[in-house]
Amino acid sequence: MNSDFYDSAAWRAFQMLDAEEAAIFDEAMLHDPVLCSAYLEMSRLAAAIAATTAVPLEAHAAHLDHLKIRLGIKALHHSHFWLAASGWATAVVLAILLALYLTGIIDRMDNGTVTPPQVAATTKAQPSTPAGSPLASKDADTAPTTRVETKRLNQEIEVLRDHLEKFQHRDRVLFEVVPGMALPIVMAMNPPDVALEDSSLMKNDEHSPLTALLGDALRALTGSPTETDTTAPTQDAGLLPKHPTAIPIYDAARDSGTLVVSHLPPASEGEVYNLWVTTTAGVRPIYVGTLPANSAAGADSFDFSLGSTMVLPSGFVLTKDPQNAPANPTEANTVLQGPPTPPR
Amino acid sequence: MVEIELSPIHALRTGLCEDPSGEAAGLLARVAQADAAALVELHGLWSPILLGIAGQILGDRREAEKVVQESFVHLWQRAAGYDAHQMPPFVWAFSVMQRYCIERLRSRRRGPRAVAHLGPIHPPSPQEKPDHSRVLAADDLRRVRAALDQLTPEERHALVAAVFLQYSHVQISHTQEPPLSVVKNHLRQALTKTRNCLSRYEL
Repeated sequence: MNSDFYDSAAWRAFQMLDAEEAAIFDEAMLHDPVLCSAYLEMSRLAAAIAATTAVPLEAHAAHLDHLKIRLGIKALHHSHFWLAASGWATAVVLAILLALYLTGIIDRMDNGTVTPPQVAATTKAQPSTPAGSPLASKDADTAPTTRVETKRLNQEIEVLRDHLEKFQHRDRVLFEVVPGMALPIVMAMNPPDVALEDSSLMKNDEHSPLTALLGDALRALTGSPTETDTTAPTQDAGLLPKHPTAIPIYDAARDSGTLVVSHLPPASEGEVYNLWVTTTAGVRPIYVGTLPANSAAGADSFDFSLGSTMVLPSGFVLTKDPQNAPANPTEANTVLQGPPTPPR
Repeated sequence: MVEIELSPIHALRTGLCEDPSGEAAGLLARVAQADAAALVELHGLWSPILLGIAGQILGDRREAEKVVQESFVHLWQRAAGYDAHQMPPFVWAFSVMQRYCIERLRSRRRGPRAVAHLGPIHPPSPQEKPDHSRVLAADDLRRVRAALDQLTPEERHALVAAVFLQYSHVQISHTQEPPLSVVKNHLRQALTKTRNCLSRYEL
């Protein structure tokens, strides 16, 4: 047995060959069944080890829907489909009703029961018709009825037109994609015991703590000299909170966020900070991830995503837990949370 | 008790990663006939473990979800050409997903990420419990775990890291650490031991 076959097959299976070596291996595999067999064996082994050691993750509910849409299996999500169908069906019904009303008006005009609006206008515009004449008498009988009827029908048409526009607008809102459009969600995270009034993002319009915090973090990111920072701070240090704070900035349209932390003490040995998100759905907090162990020296920032653009965060929680053992946020392990809960 | 060191037998049991119940192969056959229900079922069967593997390779759950979706699109389009005699169904799906992961790793190398100050905060949720039972036969799981357990920590780390492409040419050329010779040495030992251990079950 030549173990070189298996070495080469392993390096190929583990992608450790460069492009040229990989091409040579692939070419050789076509003509050498032993090499081919060795490669398949390594592929099986790699798949088995990967499946054994990886922790399965549950895909988001939208994952399968996106896949179906992409493959053209199902054009729309059920709820969207029914919303769209109901919207368009209502629009069609309203259009038919509108057409029937108009047809009815025309029919009644043809039968002489309704005078067309212009006739009414003409009647109104001819006040000089001599009183007592047959024409004046007939006009006097029909004019009030015609005006009332016309006014009522016009109002109904306006109402129906409004309904139609509303439904059309609703469908546009539901299905229109606005490229590049994003409204970031910005929150303040503070220790649970900090009062609501102390944790406001905009305590002072002129010297916002948010601006100060972000400036602090940006200085840390760009590596500005710390001496300069301490001796001549660009922001009013008095406005910065003394306690740990964090500001998650999340763009739901792109599922991309940044967490800016400040004054967060480094986690002690064997402990880490974990980030959680709470959603408007009101279910338990969803685990986002763990901050790197060497983080949180002064101000720092971290990228994160929630795995789906369909998650709308209603709040964030930062907990401190033993390494590799994150637990659901409780009062005991919560370090920061936001937005702050109102005082009881 | 003296443990007898067996000489290497360079053949794995043919059943490793096989699909003894034929469930996955049957679903793939239906997918080949554009059966959407079969794809949904296959997605439910494989996507959690594929997502876990891709997440570990890429270190980014969002990217991992994209890769898994690409893989299922590939499976849907190429299921008709799948030959069960060449490769078990899951190994095929794994190799397809691995290729997409490699593409992602290469694209990362070409263009550095815009935000360099990046925290690796995409590990699995503690609520997500492992469930391999429908992907790998219980016997395979037991054998592979036993084989990994008898490795030294360095060998095990090297093998698992290699499986998750942490030592791929892209990564090594990018980081230059650790030295390739050291990695290959650990890997050789790990592979020899693993394959010996797996072969032992054949005896």
